[in-house]
Amino acid sequence: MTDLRPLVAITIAFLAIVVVVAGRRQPTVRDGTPVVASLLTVAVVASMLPDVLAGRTPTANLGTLVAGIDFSVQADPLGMLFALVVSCLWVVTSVYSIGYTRGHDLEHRTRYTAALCLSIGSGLGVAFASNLLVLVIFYELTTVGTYPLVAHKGTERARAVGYEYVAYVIGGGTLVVGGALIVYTLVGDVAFAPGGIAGLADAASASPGPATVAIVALLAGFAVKGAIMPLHAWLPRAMVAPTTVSGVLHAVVVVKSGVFGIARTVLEVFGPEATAGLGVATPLAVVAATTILLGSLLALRQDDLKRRLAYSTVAHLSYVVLGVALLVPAAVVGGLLHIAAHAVAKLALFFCVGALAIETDIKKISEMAGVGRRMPVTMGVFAVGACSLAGLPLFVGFASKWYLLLGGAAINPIVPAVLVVSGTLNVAYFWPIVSAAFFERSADADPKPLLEGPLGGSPGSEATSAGHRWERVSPNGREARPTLVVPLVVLALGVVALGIWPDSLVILELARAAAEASVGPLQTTGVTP
Amino acid sequence: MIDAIHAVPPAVSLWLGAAFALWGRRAGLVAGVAACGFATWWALTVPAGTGRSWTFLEFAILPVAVDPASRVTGLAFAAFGLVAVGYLAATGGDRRHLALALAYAGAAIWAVFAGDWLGLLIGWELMALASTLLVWLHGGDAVRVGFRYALVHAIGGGLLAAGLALHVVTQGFSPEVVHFGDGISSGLPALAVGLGVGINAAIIGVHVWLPDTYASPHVGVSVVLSAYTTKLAVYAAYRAFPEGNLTLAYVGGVMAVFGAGYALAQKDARRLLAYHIQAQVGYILAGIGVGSALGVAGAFAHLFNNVLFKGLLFMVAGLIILRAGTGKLDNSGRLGRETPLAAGAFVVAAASITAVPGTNGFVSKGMVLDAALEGGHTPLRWLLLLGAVGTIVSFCKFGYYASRRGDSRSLSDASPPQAATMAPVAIACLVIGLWYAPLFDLLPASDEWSTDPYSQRHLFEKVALFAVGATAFVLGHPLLERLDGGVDVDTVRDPLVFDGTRRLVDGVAAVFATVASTDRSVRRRLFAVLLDPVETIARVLPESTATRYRERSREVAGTIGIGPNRRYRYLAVVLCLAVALLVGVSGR
Amino acid sequence: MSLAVGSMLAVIILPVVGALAITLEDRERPWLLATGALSLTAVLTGALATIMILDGPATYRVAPGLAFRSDTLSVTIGLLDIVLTLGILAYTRTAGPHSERFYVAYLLFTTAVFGVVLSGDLVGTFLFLLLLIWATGRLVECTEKAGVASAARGYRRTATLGALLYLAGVVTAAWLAGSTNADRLGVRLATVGHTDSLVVTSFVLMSVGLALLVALIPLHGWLVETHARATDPVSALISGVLPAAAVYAFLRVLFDVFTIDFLAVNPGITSGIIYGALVSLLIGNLLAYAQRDIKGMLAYSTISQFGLVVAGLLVATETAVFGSVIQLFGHGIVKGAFCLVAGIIAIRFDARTIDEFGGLADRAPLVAGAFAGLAVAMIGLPPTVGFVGKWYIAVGALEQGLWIVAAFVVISTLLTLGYMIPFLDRVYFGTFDGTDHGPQTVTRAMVLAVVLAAVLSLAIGLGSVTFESLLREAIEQLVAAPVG
Repeated sequence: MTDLRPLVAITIAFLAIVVVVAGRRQPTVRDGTPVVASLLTVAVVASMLPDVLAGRTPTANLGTLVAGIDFSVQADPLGMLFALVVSCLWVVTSVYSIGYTRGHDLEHRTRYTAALCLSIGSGLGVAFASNLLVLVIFYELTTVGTYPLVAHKGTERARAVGYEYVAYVIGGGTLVVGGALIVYTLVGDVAFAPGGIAGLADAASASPGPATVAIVALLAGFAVKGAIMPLHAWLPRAMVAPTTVSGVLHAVVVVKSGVFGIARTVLEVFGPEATAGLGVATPLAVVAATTILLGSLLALRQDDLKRRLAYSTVAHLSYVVLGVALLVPAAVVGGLLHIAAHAVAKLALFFCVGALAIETDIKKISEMAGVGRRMPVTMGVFAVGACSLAGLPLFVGFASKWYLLLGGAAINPIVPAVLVVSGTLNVAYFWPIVSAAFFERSADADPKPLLEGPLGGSPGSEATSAGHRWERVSPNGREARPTLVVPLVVLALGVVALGIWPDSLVILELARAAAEASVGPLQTTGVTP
Repeated sequence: MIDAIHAVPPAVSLWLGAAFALWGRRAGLVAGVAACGFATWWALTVPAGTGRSWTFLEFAILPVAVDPASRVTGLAFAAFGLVAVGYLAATGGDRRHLALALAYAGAAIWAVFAGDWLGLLIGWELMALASTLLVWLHGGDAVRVGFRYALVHAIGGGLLAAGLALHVVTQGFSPEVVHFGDGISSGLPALAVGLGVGINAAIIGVHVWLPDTYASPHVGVSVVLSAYTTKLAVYAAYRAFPEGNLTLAYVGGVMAVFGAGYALAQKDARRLLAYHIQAQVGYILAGIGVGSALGVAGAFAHLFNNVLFKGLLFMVAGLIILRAGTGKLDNSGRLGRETPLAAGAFVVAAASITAVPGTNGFVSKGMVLDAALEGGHTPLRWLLLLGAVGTIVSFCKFGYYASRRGDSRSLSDASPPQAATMAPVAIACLVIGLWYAPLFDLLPASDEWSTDPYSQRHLFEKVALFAVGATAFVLGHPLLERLDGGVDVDTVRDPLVFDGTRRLVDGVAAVFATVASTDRSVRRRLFAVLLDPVETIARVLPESTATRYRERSREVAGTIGIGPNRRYRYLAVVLCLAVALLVGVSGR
Repeated sequence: MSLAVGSMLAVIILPVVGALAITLEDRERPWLLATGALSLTAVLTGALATIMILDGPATYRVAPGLAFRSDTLSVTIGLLDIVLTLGILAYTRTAGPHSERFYVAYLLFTTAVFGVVLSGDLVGTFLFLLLLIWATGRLVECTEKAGVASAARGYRRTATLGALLYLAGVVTAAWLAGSTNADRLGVRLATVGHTDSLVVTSFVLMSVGLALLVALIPLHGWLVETHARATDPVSALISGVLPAAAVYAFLRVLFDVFTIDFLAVNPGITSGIIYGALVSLLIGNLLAYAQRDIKGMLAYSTISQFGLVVAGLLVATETAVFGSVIQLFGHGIVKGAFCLVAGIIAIRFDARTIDEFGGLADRAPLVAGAFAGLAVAMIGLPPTVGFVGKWYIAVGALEQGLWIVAAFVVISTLLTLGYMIPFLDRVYFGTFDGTDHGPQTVTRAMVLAVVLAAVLSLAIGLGSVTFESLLREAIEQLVAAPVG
């Protein structure tokens, strides 16, 4: 069924760029446009929900892109899930970034805002793309959009990192193009089809060599953005970017588009059979599991807040990959669900960090002792996000973790074991932040177990002896400005609401629909393949 | 069927109370007492059966499912909540303490009345969260302790969840599969769930968190904590192995001995009591493990009583600590005639835990021992008896230290509010000891077993035990003098985990760092070559040509010297021609 | 003679007329005249294109050695030529050069290109090539920079050598086959036998000669030098149109004269040229890193791009050849515009080397935007024309099982990115420390031209399919083995 709404959803963001650039003289226009645009986008995306849930896929075809490949965008469950996350979080982000840019009085705000819109728009494009090539187009566009954001500060380091970022990520994109090429030559089609492109499975079994090269190229290419080890190095370094941007990179668009690409590749390009047949599923799962563990371990001893979050992101992205790679319905649902779960929680965490940086200039965990008394709401939201990522029930993180456990249990007890360990590690690297913020005073700040030594800041460490650069006030002290706090609270509410009613809030339904289309209904959990 | 009021899980009322508590201490106290009161009434009046189910992650959760087991446990939790909140307020806990305590107790009650594993898991994890915060509230060293506590319970909760997942998989997926039914399917699921539950039940090896945690926070908080976490664990153990499980039984038996033994070695009041929690939990697990109707009933009876007298003991200990400013038995002040209330409470509690006839402990402990006997598990029975002796000895010690030793100043007595919270518990202990029928009616399968607590054998047994215990203390207490704490698992575990993890992390970090640095240096060299090829070429040329080459390459920027050089161009053309012809003509 | 033939001749003659007018007429308005002539030519080219699309190729024989033939393919290159020359006029109006000599040479250059692409006879092609070389030489000379004269001289000599090699090849072929008309030659050479060493020799002579004019490595020296010395509009022509014309001539020789059968039976030659092209793709990209001067960078990227195009041609499937053609066209536009941007920046900021590019974006956002857009197209990110061309070439290569070509094509994106980003980085994130002669030094027309080019590169990328449908016929019969 032809339906322009997916296209509209994408174009709104691109139009927003025009408005922003045009209205660069009036701050209100420049800063207000994204908010309006994001709300519109949410409306459009949401309007497609009933259709998608009813099993229809609104599709807008703009004719042929290159011979044999259409330029068409469609809203299938998988894309819808991602699009929903991106658009909803865009609203929050656009509000927050007003507060952030004004709080930090950032320069080049027009460029910044426009680039942000571009990244989001292309992110939506990635979500709605109906074939590999269109996906690649928007995938590269996200890079084009985020590069100026990463290098925004224009310092030597920022620029070096920016260069590295582009090199890494376009490199990945190039690999993806290569993979798409081979797929195209193998079956003459790159349009996503649940369960795999028709005939690709046969082609793969007929000529496993090229097929393997193709799938490895695709997975590796997407893995770069998905920050799967050992291709993750750029992510922690990209932390030089403004915090809003880091949030967007981590939670909303970039890394998510990477893992989303992996999901598309496994589920809807090659399909479970071919993936398993080519013998890449297991290695992929192993890599993902390793990334989960190592990422969490590395997060343990980062004193820099953003770096710790970065490594935590590295770990959590692999939840998605792991889920997809297991190829069991439950696991796939869990993986896809985690795209949303991690997005909301991690965005909340990053925004907390941003608020901290603006209000108190705190960037290190060792400086945080007692800051919870100063900014209870902010740190409260941080705690909520942490709980969600640690996978406590009634926080959204639990939903995805639970499905992953179910799926993993069906495959191999090692998977649940990995998840248990990673859950514990999450507690290990998030709780000290919470406890330090709320239950310590920099006078008696106590080096936590596992965090002693140079990191984690003992009372004597330079971090706190450098004195707290922020006046300490009673618990009902001055919070961050409303433009920062409101988005935080909204995100926290989202985390909890999604955690308590996952079944009635569509994401679970979408994830299930997407998984069911490719790997069959959930009831097959019991049978071990 | 369940009416509207009873369709609401009582936990909700406690959580509402918690919300109120944020207003202030007084409001919290009132709200808390009201909430616990309501919960108690609810637990007493709710008819057996299950309420409406709620779909959570596609599984049918039963927020309200009442059977004797859940009723008796829930009743204990709710009723104790009343006094615990009171005591907390009476010992200077502020609104944050009250709020968190109510949230914690609420989570426990939710878990008890949940009719399925997923619901129980929710309560389980929320309890872990709330209790961690409760411990943290004390600040200082308690923060680090709380962190360890959180880690241990994260593992426990994770294992439980993983076990459930395995259980679901083996049972095959259906919305009702998470309902308790007849326990966890054996094998890996049973192992995982058992471990997860075991961590919370402080079975040997993973029990360190118990003395570690309960000895550090605010005294009121330890009273609250003492009642719920471990008890919920044994309740879960029953749900996991309703038919009993001999391994579990023996684990329990050994715990009884081990706990009592370590308790002997303690000088810190609350550590001593904490080890006794382990011992008592051992008894309960033994009862559940035996699995006979009597065993289970005895286990739950003991669970109920244990909540009472263990709570009371912690209240007394808390009092001593508040008054003396230290938990060290041998240098705190004295209880005695001047402090009738505290001393009385202690006597009652100690009597109950050592199962003096006429106290509730005597009744329920007897049931467990009988269960072991009629089940024919003689070794188990002996273990339990040994544990009983240990308990007796260590409470002789506690009493001895608390009343005779330490500096001679006597402590001031419990304040009226504190007394008001302690008295009911003490009375309950005695009343149940004598008039136990109502309790028996609450217990599971009350028609399938019968027991006479005051049978001759029981009484005789007791006398014997006390004789042994007393002599043991008299002979052994010089030895006990020298023991302080003893060596437990944590002396090995903590450094191991701590350094192990650090080493591991540093190792991983180092590996990645080296990779990154080599990668960067390689790139730098590559770029150096790319950005100045002239130099690179010149370096390999002989000196004279090199200089000439450099000059030439400077003529037109970036042409690496071949741009303007005509001779070179013609050479190149000729070369190409030659090669092409060679390839072309002889190419076939 | 038909309408098609008329317009064919017209587009060739019109610029000459314009040139004559400029020389004869004494008033100082060469720009106006040139513009007039070229816009007329443009109109006619458009007409020719439509005719080609509607009723297919046309041929017209003037005299032995001089015949004209045209199809959609040749018109494409013709369009490229006229679009660029017109666009550059928009630039030169104020930026200069203003001299009469320049415009005369300019018009003759246009004619020559048309001649090369429309000539259906190898000798004719040779003559037009000579004219082209002469005109380019003149164009290069039209500036006061140092060393221009010698550069032009050097260029003329080298290029003429190339042309002569080509002639030698033609003569050999003619001696074998008794004709110089492309089509007949093809048939007769087939009868002589493609493996005959003389046939091979003539092919080698022609292709080496043309390779020199295309400036494939190692025959690229002249391009770099002239590019660096000439004024920006001229370099725009040099890297946009000049090699394109040569490539077109090569394409004709390859597919009309020595059909793909020849390639089939001479695998050595085929793979030899392919690898040569790949080498120049690689080396060109790598040498571009060393460039501090933007013009130098552009020159080397041109070289690498044409390596790509030639490789595509030699893959010799319809897909790949189409890829090469669209790449040819797109690259011409993008590179031409890029040179103009460089010129604009040089005029306003005196910025030539990368270090002087710092922070231009704040002062000239529009130009910077165009710069970025063109850079993206150069790198070949989707959906710009750069990407589409590469895609088709790679697909074709894979169809033929030429993995290596596909791999190189894909990787070249990254290599290009490597030396493009530093420029963008300076432009956007660098800090400005140079002289700014102010916006008035650059006219709207200039900026408009480059912005349009940027937009065009995107449009072509998205509309590639239309292109394909128009060119399909021509390419099919090009690649199809000849009958008989």
